[in-house]
Amino acid sequence: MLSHIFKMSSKIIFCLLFIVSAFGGLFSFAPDAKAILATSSVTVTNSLPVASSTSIDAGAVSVTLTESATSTVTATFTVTDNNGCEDIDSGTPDTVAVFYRTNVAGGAACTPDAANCYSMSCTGPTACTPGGSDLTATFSCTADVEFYADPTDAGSAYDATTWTATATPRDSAGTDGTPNADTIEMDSLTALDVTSTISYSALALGADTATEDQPTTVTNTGNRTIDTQVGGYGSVSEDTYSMVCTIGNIAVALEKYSLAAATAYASKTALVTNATPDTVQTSLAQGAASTDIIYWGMGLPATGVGGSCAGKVVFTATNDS
Amino acid sequence: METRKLLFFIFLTALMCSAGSVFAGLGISPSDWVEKNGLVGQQIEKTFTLSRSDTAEDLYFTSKITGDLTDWIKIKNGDSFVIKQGQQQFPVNIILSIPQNAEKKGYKGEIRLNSGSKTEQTGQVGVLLSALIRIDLTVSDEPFLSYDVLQIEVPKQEEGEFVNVILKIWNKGNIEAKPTKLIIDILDKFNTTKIDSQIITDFSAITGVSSFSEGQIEVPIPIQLQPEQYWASISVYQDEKILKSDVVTFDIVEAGSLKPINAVGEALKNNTYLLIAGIVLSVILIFVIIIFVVRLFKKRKKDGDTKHIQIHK
Repeated sequence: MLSHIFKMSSKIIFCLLFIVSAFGGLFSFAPDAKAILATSSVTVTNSLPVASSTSIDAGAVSVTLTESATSTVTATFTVTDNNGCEDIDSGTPDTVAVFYRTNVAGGAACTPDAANCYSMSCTGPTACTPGGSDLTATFSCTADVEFYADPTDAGSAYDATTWTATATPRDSAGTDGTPNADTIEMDSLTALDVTSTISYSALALGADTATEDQPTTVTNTGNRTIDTQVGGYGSVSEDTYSMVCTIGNIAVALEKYSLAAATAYASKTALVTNATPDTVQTSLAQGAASTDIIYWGMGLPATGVGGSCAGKVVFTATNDS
Repeated sequence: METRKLLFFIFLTALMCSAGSVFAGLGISPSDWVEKNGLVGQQIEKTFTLSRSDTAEDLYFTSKITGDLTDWIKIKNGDSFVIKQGQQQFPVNIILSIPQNAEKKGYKGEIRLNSGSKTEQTGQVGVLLSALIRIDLTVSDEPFLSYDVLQIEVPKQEEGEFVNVILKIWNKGNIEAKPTKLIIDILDKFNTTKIDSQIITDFSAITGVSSFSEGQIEVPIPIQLQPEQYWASISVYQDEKILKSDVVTFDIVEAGSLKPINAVGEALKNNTYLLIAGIVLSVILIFVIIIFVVRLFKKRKKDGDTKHIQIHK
């Protein structure tokens, strides 16, 4: 019996060895070939790159700017070159992208201007696998757009147009490939900054500041032409005072303003409550440094106030109509 | 005595009204909301963005709504809110709900967002800034179709599936929006040979983008492609008007590359060599078992024959 089991086992082992050898042979025995070397050459004609799938801010509806600051706009796109993706951007000049108001003079060849034309800063090519089989690479380009870039939304001066990002790919030949573009709306930004202080000098009861002015400088920090609304209150919004004092209060109309310097107090315009503010026709154009001065004066009632006084003036930007 | 008293009052009322405060600016984008095609019973939501360049401090806001639309407007952020220190832009979401019984006419309203600092001191006159949103609404009963196709995209897909075209749409109208025609030409990876061309005109199974909102729709193109890169030239139409045309590249990848077929399949896919080894071993095992069973059967038969012979001895 033992000899039988031994005989059987040896046969099984033999079978196993045979099968493993057969499988191994399948993978390890390869025909041995010897090549005869021959030299040949060919010059490959350059294929120009093509841009596609351009997208501004990942397909956003519009660009929203930040007052008195820059906002980053990003354009992404794909470039395909039939010579292989390594060829993309390998020459001089490099692949470029321009972000511009669509109807600006020159279009994608516009002269850089913070209001309507930006040359974008690009990174890429990325996502390229060298070797020739991968034909595409991607780019990401950014522009830091100023707060006074031309708006194109409804009601703005350029509402018939949009902004465009045009990507122009280049390769080792250094010539322009086929460009691709995307468009987007630039939102209106209605904004202001008031950088001056109001500081009245000492006044007697019943007196006023006459032609002496306390100026506030208003700066347009958006991209629309603006007027400036002003309204005042003492300590609580819409309380009809210009100031609240230790003893008594000063009526809102006793604080006055003018757009002209050295205007007599009597000829200045009386401030109103912030519930229904006045619109001062500042007509401040959009731009890097668009400012105007509102001149302030103060009068005191003949009786009924004393001590220290405090109040507020509220400034609001509105689109110039 | 009278002179001294007068001087005392002059001193007291000498205005300590030094209006101090140098404030950072404040902006609102956009500031005008013109809606010419509101339908009765409709709810319209719009986002406005407050912005400031100086973010050194928290900035507190209270809102005030005036005009014809006071009862129709709700600010999702609440009547008061705070822009936190370090935050330049702040979205303010406004919901305008037009009542069912609203008269069909024009309405005007204003939303004033007043800023203020919680650290105001008494004895100072502050200069404060506010932002103004002006609303001009016309309620009508006329359907109004108006939308933009913002983006055309063909995402990476697996072989065996239809090619899906994704359209990102901004619906500015008061009814659901979706295109009426889409033309697509598919070319090879070299952008030289046209593989297929289709015109899609049946959008009945596709849900459009709701009124006054942004969204996307997926248009399946009945074509199945082999794993490779392709070009697509796509034009989207509303009737005969082209809304957007674009050229995009896209990839078709092997089945199971993007989503696993199932857990076992995925595990096996990730262990190809283990799978081959398993198959080889299984085959060997089957061979061994067959040989063992055959040998055992023959042996038993042989033993049986031997016994029979012995009995007859």
